Amino acid sequence: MWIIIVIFAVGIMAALQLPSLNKKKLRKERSVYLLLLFIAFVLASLESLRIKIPNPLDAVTIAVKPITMVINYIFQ
Amino acid sequence: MLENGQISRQQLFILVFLFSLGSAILIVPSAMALTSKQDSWISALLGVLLGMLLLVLYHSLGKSFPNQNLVQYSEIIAGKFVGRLISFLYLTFFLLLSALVLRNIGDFMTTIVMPETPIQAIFILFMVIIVMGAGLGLEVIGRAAEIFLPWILLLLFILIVFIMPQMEMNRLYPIFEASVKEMIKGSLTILGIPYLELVIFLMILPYVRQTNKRGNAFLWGGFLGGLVLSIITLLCILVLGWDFTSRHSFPSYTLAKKIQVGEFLQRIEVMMAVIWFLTIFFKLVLCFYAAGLGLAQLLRMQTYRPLLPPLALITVVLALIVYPNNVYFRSFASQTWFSYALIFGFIIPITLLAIHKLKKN
Amino acid sequence: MRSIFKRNQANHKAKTTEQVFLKQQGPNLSKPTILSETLEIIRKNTGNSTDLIIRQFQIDTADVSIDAAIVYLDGMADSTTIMDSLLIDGKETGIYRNATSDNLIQKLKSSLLKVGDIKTITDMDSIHIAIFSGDAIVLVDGSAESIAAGVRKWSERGVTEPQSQTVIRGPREGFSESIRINTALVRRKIKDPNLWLETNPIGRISKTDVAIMFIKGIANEKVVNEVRIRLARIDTDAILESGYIEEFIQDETYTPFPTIYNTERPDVVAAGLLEGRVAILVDGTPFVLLAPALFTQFLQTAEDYYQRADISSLLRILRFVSLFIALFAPSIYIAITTFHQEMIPTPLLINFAAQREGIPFPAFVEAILMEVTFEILREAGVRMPRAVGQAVSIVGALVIGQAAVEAGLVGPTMVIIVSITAISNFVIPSYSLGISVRMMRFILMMLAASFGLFGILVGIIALVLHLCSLRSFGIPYMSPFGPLDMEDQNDNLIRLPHWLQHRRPRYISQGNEIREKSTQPKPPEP
Repeated sequence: MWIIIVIFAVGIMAALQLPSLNKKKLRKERSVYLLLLFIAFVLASLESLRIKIPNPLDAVTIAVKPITMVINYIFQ
Repeated sequence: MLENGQISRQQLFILVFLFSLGSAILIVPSAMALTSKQDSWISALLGVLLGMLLLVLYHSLGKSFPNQNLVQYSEIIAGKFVGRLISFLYLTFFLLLSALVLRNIGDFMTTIVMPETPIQAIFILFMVIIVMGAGLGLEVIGRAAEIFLPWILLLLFILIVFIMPQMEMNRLYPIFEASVKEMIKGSLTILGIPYLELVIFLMILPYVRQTNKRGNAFLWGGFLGGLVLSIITLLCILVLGWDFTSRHSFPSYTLAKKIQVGEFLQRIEVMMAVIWFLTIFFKLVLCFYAAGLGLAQLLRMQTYRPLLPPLALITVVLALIVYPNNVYFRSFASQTWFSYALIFGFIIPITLLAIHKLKKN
Repeated sequence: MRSIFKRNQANHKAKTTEQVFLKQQGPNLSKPTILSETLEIIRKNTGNSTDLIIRQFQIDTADVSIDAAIVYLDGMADSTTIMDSLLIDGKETGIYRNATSDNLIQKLKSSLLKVGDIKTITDMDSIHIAIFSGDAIVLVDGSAESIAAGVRKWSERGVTEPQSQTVIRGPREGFSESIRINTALVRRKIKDPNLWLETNPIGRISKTDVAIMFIKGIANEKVVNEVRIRLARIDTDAILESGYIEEFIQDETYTPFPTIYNTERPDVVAAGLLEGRVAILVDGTPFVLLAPALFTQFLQTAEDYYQRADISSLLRILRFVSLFIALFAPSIYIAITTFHQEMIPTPLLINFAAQREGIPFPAFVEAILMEVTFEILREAGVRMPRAVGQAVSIVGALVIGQAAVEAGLVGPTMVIIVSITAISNFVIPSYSLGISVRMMRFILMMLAASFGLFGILVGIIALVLHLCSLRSFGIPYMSPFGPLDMEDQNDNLIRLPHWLQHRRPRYISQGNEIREKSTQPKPPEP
């Protein structure tokens, strides 16, 4: 069910915003917008189809591990 | 200019105050009680003092560039490439913070207030007003904050006054049982949420009218926000006891549940949920606004508004995947978040400030 | 789809513009000197309208008698004055005797002593406008000039008590349909040369007189200019009511909230002018617009300033409370009964459950049913002939109220909620704000039905964000709440006594703020 909502939502966004972007001739804005919309669409579809997306917090946890360890060491 | 609106110092003060309460008021008491037990309120006050130092740092960094925000001056200080990289990292930070805050309110709603509603529906509904607010710009957010502030203060006042009969002073004893080390460790919680997050105001400070006098408003907002957090923490311990506080996800809500005045004024915790809800709204809308505005500035775009709906969808997905379960959330909030926020809220700003000062001399 | 729609609209507009211009301008820009030709053109252009009176006569000068004519619209001009003056007085005094055909017009002008407003016009367009505004035109054979005599007189409603904004204490006069009477009503309250009035006709076909009135030196120049610009931008065929103007000149078009204030009361307009607002008067309607308008203004009444300050303040707070009830009562009822039953004290909850036992609908359907019924009754009450009003009240009160409960369609609590909502809605002094509240109520009810109090809160946040984003002629709509201005609070939620109101509202009159320097009244020294 969620996939339908995702497609619907993305469709509405594009239908509402693309015409005004086209009209104002904001080329760069339009390409950034389309890129973001594409990323959002892919992420949301994957999530709604229950395909596992890697959790960004895992990456964050690994990246800041040294600092965490230092803090833990200080307050041992 | 991407943002033409300007806010007054008074509005800045209110926004800082509400931002520092948002989601912290739900999470902080429990995380604090875990480390410094019945002395958490001392930890909290200690954290507020340390937090003020952070605010002074942000203020002095902002003062060096009164008319530019973080994304703009990071390029000036650190050069084009490094500066842009820093800006990009900040944007991910803001977006991730938005997702985490959104997840907080979602968890709160689905576990306690409305268990039958799917969390996605709450996310979507909430993001609709966030996109609306961020799209309308800073001026409107500031005005809305001025309108909501009296209500939030009134509800906080009701909460504090009506919970007083339930306090038991002996829950505080023994005072100073925790060692200094433990207390400092406890204070790191309040430092991580909200003080290190206040780095977002580096994106907002240049849009304050009378740039030279904004420091006071900024510092006072942060200070009073921290004070309210400390009071809530103290109340949690006095009413619930540290043990119960630390085991609960949202102890301040449980606190509101305890309100009982006579026969009729009871179970008004949903009214109190308005406080968390409104403060989280302002926190989230500012994070999201900063992310959208920053992205548009980084890419030299003419407007940030069209980017908001796709960003909102990304935020919703992020909010869905960030915490697989409650255990993960608690360990992340208590362990990793501080280090992560420390990089963005302390290490990078102080490095930027140092480089700037060195360059100037 | 949107763009196609727009294009059609543009085409349509272009066509009507052309048509109107063809009809109006025609071939004749300057008036021919031969009288019969002029009259022929007038007849042709007006399609020989039956209320157009053309009275031809002759003026005897010393050597010749010159053909002349008076043209006016029956029912719009008082022609007897001009007839008297021209024909009878003129003949008696013998003023024309030494006139020639060249200076006859001048002589005529000086002889028309009974008419105050006299203009000399030379082109057909002005002749048409003058005739249809109710002036009488005096045409003379052989002269390129003609006289437009202002003898407008038509039957108009007198000054009566306003229907929409009644007071217990305060002046009972209200505006009427004639712009001249209306400007006079305002002038009688503010006798100062700085009260300026500018009039311009708006509307290609209707050519309605639209006047702006402001006090030079108090009104913000920028706002006055903005009003001028926006009025000049209007390009439409007719203005029939000030509502037309309101829609054309408001800042934000997609909003349910009124951003321009309208009133029937001269005292309210005078008070607005004195605070630095600009009044827009439209001929043909008793409703005068005041801009810029703030949200809080719609919850204030004229009487607030005539009664004692303490009771006025309490009444204002009461109005705010009523606003909240009118907005939120049904939705909060729905939210609490569907999602948050724990908030109701147990005995009451049991009562509720017992009442709703036989009712087949969820609370939301029940509420919608009653609210829509009420809106229908209300609309019927407004449009109906007065005589049947009684019948509707009976049907509404007895049949819908009592019978619906007894039939088990709705619970008695719901009837109470709907009634209190309706009455609270009537407390809102401004009808236009009342309408917005009615619309918002239904949206909030839907949010409450699907998300409970959380939904209502989302609705409130969206509402406040929207209200904060509105501006009325550049002035933030929600000021002085947001932006919060402590100095303007003296006349906002509460009204301080007049001797404490030293300043005009800061956001309205920017610059000239000091209103008075009175001190607190004291009993005489013993």
